[in-house]
Amino acid sequence: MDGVTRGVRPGQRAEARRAVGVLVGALRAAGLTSVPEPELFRRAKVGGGPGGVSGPLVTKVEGDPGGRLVASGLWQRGYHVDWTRCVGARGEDGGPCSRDLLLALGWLLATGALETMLAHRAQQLDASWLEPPGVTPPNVPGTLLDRPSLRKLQWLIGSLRFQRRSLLSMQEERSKLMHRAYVNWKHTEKLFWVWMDSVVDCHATDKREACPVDQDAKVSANRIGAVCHHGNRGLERLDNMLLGLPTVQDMRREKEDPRRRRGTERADKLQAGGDSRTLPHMWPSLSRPISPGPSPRAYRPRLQGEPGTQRSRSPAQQPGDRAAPAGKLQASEVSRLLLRTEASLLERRGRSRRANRMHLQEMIGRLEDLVLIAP
Amino acid sequence: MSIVTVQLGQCGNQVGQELFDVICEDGQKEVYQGGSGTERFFHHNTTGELTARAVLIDMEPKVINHSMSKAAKSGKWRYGETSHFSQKQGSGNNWANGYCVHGPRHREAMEDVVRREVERCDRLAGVVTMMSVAGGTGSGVGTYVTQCLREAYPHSFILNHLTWPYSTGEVIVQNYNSVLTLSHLYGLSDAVLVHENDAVHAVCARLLNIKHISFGDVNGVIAHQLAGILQPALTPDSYGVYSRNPLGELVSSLVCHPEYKLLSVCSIPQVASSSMAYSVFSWPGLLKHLRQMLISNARMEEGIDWQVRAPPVQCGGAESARSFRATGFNRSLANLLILRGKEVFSAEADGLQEAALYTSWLPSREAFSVWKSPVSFNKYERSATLVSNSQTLLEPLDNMVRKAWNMFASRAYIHQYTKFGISEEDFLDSFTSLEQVISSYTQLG
Repeated sequence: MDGVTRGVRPGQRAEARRAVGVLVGALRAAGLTSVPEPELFRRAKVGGGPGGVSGPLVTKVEGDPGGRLVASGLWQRGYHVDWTRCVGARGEDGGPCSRDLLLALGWLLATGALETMLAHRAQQLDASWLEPPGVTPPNVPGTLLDRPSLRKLQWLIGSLRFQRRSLLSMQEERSKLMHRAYVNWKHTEKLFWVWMDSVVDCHATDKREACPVDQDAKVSANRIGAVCHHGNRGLERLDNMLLGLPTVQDMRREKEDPRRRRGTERADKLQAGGDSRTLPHMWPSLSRPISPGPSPRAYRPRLQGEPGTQRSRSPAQQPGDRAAPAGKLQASEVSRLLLRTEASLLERRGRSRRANRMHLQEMIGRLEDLVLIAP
Repeated sequence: MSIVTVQLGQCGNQVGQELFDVICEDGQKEVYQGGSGTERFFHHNTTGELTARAVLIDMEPKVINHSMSKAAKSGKWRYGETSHFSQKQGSGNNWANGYCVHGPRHREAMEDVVRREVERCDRLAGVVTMMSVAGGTGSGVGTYVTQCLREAYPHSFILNHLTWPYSTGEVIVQNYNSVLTLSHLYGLSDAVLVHENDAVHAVCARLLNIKHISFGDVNGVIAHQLAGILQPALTPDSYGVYSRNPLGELVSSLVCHPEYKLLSVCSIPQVASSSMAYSVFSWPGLLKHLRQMLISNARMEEGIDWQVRAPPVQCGGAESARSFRATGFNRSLANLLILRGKEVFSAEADGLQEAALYTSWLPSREAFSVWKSPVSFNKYERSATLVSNSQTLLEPLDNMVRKAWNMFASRAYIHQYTKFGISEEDFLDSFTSLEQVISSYTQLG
């Protein structure tokens, strides 16, 4: 079974191929000058293993303007561009990174990146229909403008007029092709997402091979809260440091039962699914809306701690040798990150409260017609 | 990048059908990279048949039906089933009837047919209208349709192909119709490409050795010359690929000045099929003949006056006018040379770029362009087509206007036009504008 059809019913093979082709057409129509061939998308699905074909897709992302789609798309939504660079480096040795890129692309599409790009492109094309700015003709004395010069001038003006028309017709053609590509995409979009779900399934199956850090997490009790940062050392250091911070609750609980508390905390973190920046871990299904904000459960215990309290921990409580890299981070950077996270969490809390209130009101509304009988 | 052809009246519908025949035959070779040959003039219908991007308009159904069935019988291409518009009653060889009555009455229906064809194109390279100037429908309705096209597609290139009648006369009021058509089109069209029946007839008789020349033979020569221009070619602006903007580049190289829009065409070689086996052509020989045909105003390679020489550079306007009348030298404003066939990239066309051939105010490097294609065209191993914006049409135009004016001065047949709403003032306006065209071409220098 090839990259297109893995996880897809045989009857959907041709449709999946077509859907990927249509997507490539739509991306090109959106103005991306270098979009990988459909075949590379399909091969990226199988991604990993020796002889993997992630290289070309990654190269596209890294070296060509087309790659800006994933890199800048992620960056604009608050994720590190380093992530894709890291994938590029890993992809050369046949890692499963092309699939990660593919998943990232899928996520971007799900957040409406294609529509944004097309809208921007349409705006650019529309702007060209505006009348050219009025140009004041140079003030030439009548005596200098003899008959031959006047005729030459008329010829040149005519030539410019025709050039403008040719350019306008070119713009019109691009608008038309873009419109058609978008309509085609809308028609085949469902098929694409079916195929994308199969990519996600593949990813879930191969996750262990795809992310060695996860393997570590399985085998090492010390790194149980760790997540994959795809080689981003700074991010890893910060996360490790945050993991190392004792929380107020920790300290309180440790007083009661240090061993029991540590186990609970780790379970919490596992349940939270790790850091939001590790994108692939956040994708149970693309059909579900995905929030780009950080997971509150992952951060809340850490925020309540003080950097200074780290020193109060006994060496036995330190997870591995994380104290050293954490100490190398700039305090200002840490505080900036923490403040940003705090703001994000507060906002989420507000939203959640409002949603709960609405939900309660709805429930109360429904209950009005019911007669409650005490047991 | 496609061209929509609008065929109007008997002549336009017959010439158009011949043109598509030649293009289809030539395009069947499928040697024009990128498929620009067929895509430019055809699309595939729902059953996969090659269908002309053409609209057929006439006020009588007979010619349209004939052209459509002839195309279908070729087995190679066809017209679209709904791409035509016709009525029961013709225009009676009266321009005013076509322009003032039939045109406005059927405007919506005709615009609909054209719009459907235009919407089929990814990019409209332009519209070519084909018609005669002598009759009523081609000239009158054709002028009206061109006016509608200009309104509907203000940014598109519009090339009007006109067939001028025999000077001896096909229709008694042909000069009225011609004057009214030309004067109106001059303000609407980007370029007016003219074939004179007299000149084409001479080609049939003397070069192709046809004994009993029919309209079909004449139309065949016109179609060959037109296809020589419109088939794909490598142009200075197309950077090594076949140009996707043929009409835009054609008008940009020839008709940038609003007072000079008349284009004539001549091709070389043109020989009877029976003589092909004995004919050998080389690029230097073909181009030498073509240059002399241009400057001596010969319409074919037979009977060229080799005595005509280009005068020294820098003639004054009036002096140049005298020299044209006296010496027979034909001055050009701009020329476009299209070469097709073997070893085309070795062909040197310097002789046609001499400054002496052109006006003083437009340098020859701007006035002369060459398009090339290594694909042999039609049945010729090497062929050259010259599209010229020069004084070539000055004399026939002058004759046409003079004859029309003489009739107008004796008020002959004027009432036939006034009864449909064309006043004497309209006639006078038309005469004035064509006198201006004649004056501009006379003063070319």
